[in-house]
Amino acid sequence: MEREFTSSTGEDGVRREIQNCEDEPIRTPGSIQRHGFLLILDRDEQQVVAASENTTEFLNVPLARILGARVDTVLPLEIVGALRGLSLRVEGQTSLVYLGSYQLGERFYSVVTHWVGGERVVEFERVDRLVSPELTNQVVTNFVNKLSKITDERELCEAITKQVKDLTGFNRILLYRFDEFGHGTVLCEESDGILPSYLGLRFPATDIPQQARDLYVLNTVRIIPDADYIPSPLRGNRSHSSGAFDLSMSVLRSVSPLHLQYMKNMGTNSSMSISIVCEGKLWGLISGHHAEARTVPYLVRSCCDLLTKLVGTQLLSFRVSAKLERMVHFHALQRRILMHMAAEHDYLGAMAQQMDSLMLVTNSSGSALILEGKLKTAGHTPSHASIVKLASWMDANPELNCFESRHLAQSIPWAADFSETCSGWMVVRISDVKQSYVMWFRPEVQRTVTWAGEPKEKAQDLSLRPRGSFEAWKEIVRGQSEPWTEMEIDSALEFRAAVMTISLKRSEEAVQLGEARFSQLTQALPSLVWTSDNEGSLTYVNQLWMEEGLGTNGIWFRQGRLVPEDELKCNALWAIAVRDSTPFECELRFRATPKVSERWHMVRAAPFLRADGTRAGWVGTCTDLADKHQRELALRMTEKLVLSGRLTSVIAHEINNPLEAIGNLFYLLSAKMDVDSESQSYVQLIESELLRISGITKQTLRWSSESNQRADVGTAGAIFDDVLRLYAGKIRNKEIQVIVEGGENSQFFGYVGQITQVIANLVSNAIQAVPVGGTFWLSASEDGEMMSMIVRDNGYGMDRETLKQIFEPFFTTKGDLGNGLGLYISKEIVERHGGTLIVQSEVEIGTEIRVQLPARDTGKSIDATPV
Amino acid sequence: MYCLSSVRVFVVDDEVVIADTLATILKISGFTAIAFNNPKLALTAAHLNPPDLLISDVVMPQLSGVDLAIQIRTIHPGCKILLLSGQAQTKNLLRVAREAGHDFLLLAKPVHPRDLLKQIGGQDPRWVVERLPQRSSASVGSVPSL
Repeated sequence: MEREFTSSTGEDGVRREIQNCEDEPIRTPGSIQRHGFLLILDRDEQQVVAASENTTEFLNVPLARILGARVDTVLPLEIVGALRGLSLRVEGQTSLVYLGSYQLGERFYSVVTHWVGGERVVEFERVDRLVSPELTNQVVTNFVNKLSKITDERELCEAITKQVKDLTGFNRILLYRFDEFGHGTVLCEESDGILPSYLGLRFPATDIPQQARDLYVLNTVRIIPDADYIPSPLRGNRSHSSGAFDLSMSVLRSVSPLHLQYMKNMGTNSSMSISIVCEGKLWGLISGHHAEARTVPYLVRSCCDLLTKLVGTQLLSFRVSAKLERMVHFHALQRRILMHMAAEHDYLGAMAQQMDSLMLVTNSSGSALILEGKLKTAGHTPSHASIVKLASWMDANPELNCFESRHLAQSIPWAADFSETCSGWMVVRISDVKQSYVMWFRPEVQRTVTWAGEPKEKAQDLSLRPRGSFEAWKEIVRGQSEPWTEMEIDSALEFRAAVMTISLKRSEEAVQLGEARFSQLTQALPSLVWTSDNEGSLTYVNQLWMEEGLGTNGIWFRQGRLVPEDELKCNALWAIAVRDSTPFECELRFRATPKVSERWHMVRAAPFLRADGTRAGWVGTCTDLADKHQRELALRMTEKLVLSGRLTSVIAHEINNPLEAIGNLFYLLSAKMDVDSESQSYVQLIESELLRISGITKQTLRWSSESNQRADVGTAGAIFDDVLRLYAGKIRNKEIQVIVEGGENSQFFGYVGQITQVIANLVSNAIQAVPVGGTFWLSASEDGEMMSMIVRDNGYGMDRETLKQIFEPFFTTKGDLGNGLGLYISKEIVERHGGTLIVQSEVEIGTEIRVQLPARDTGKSIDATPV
Repeated sequence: MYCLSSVRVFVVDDEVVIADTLATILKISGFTAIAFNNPKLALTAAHLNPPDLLISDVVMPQLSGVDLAIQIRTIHPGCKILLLSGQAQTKNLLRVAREAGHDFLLLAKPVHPRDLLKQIGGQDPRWVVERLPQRSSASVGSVPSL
């Protein structure tokens, strides 16, 4: 269906159907401007299926004769030929192709063509001034040369603006740059003064609706030579939907009447604009305005377009190198901080020490580090309370890893309270588990924006009526900071990623460390240690478990590890423990293996939990009860012995006084008695027995008193004397012969009292071993660093079985508390002195025990604590 | 002839039997001996009339034998000192006294009376006791009661 556009006239200037400039069908206006004519050819390019109405004026042929006619009847041969030639080429079928400059009648036309939906569109634009190709070449070459010397954006923009002015001759050329909202600020202006200056003004985004922007990226040049033009509608065959024909790529395309009104309000009658595209997006616009109607030849426009494309490329290059430079700068900053962090175990503490550097990571004025609710700040930041509130806001948005805003109050209304220090806010989450963030702050920067005319309210600015005034209108912008650049945001995100990586690494290390510690701990324990899942399936066993031959498979209490009835008992108890999540405790018997006899163990297992409270598994230990029992017995025995040792010395002291008294009394008694009476000999006997008692007490005291507080040099002879005196009675009663074979001068170094106890023990054993009338020998010798004392007897000896057990703690006691400490303790004492105790024995032959001790002080300390 | 009875001996021991029997032994040997159970009383007596010989136990509740000896030496520097002890700590006490310049002879209990008399003789050559007069069946003498 045909569709008509009528131009706007009059005060309100707009047809009522157009409610919303966003909805305007700018790609399918259904008409063209008047500075040329347009033909649409069919797929085969044989027939003209549609044409602009004004074609008649140019070709001097009625429209009816054109529509449906064969092309070669309408157009001169050379054009037709050129078109045919095009079709054979493969390239650029959808984009605009410049055919050339051709003469039709008396006029020249620039002929361009493109495809739309399989149909060929051919446009003829009237040429007013001829432009030589050499001129365009020269212009391009000069500009490229200039480009190589240009180092920044501004210079670049000024250069292109000037160049376009020179080429087009418009009264005023403006270069706009669009911000993130689509508002365009005039960066550069070249003007001959006829039109007012718009330099520095900002044009609201709504001046160019989104659909126009989309089109501008596609078709980068457009021109309106005369704003007063009357559109020429497209007319086509009945079957042709010329009204809905897509004229996006057309150079003659008619424009929206709203736009024409806009131009008129601006006081311009002719305009041209070239899109500056960078990375596929509309970076800005170069607009040319003229007070009067003005045409710019197609070739000149093309040249400007080409130059602008070069500018777009160069802008990209500048942007990339600026980005790179910033990236390098931020990377260096980050690296400094991260290196410190990576070197410390407490990486978060290390970060906290570098708050000032942290600020620079995003070029902020203030930074804050929140670690599990604790705060550290640097620079200009809002109050701690405010920061805590912001942290809570992030807590409430757990899906956000990063958030940035230059106008925080817009997203978080209550942030307006501290917009002075925090109008710009950027935050990254650095822990998924704990409340931890890094925040950056930018203060409010009051800016004055000069609008080109008073901007309308955003929400309703789908104007029916373009504004009438373009006079500078100042707006003071509040609550906003310098915007966060892409590089700064990237820097923040990279930093976050690095922190998370360190954190991950530390966690892994911590896990590894934890595992290593666990393994080490369980290996060091004298119990069997295992872990399992809830079923009881083993997940870890320690070395001892392995050595017991218990294997690593399956449920810990199955697979024949336990005695059958204990396995059943365990089954039941385990199920209860798992069900109730209570600790498991049970005394069980592990079955005898070739290595180990059936042994009772106390098994305890406890569940352990994950951070979130769920059960992760069970840890169990098995403690050998037999060992424990034995040890407890040995301990009690030792305590008794120690006690008795102490008792001995107490007793000895207490005995001395009565002995003294008795001695005195017997002396007095003997003085009263007749010299040669029998009583005298009795008294003498009493005195010698008293002597014996005092001898024993003196020895015992010596054994446990000062001589035990310090290690000293002792002689074998002194020891032998003491011990023999002690056992003089027993020796006499059993008529034992004692032979000291020599070496009495041999010296040893140690606690004399303890060594005396040892020899006493050996002698006591010898006395017990020999028959009545038997013999034992004592000897000593020195051998370099060591010396030996030997007790040898010809008693009944010990068989192999006995020999195996003589050093067991509770094997020996033959009722010898106080003096007989047992070989267990004797061996312990000797070994603590750095010596050895060796027993050789043969049944019916006898026993020889050799005690080897250091002959002198080796400087090594001897553990003198009671055994 | 030197008269042993002119030698005044203090025997100090908190054990009553020991002090008495020692004093008796000394008396029958010819000395003049007084037994004290409380070293403080001995000290008071020494102030009045200092002894020529002090035989004292070391570990006593009221005052140590070492301290007693030091103080009596202060009163009468020529007094001879013999200390008896059944305890081990004595050696430390003696060391302290030695460091203060006093050198006391220590005998470990139980001491045979014969040995004690020998030691007394060692303190002063005039104090040597001849063989203890043994009683013949004929002689009757009085021995001071214990």
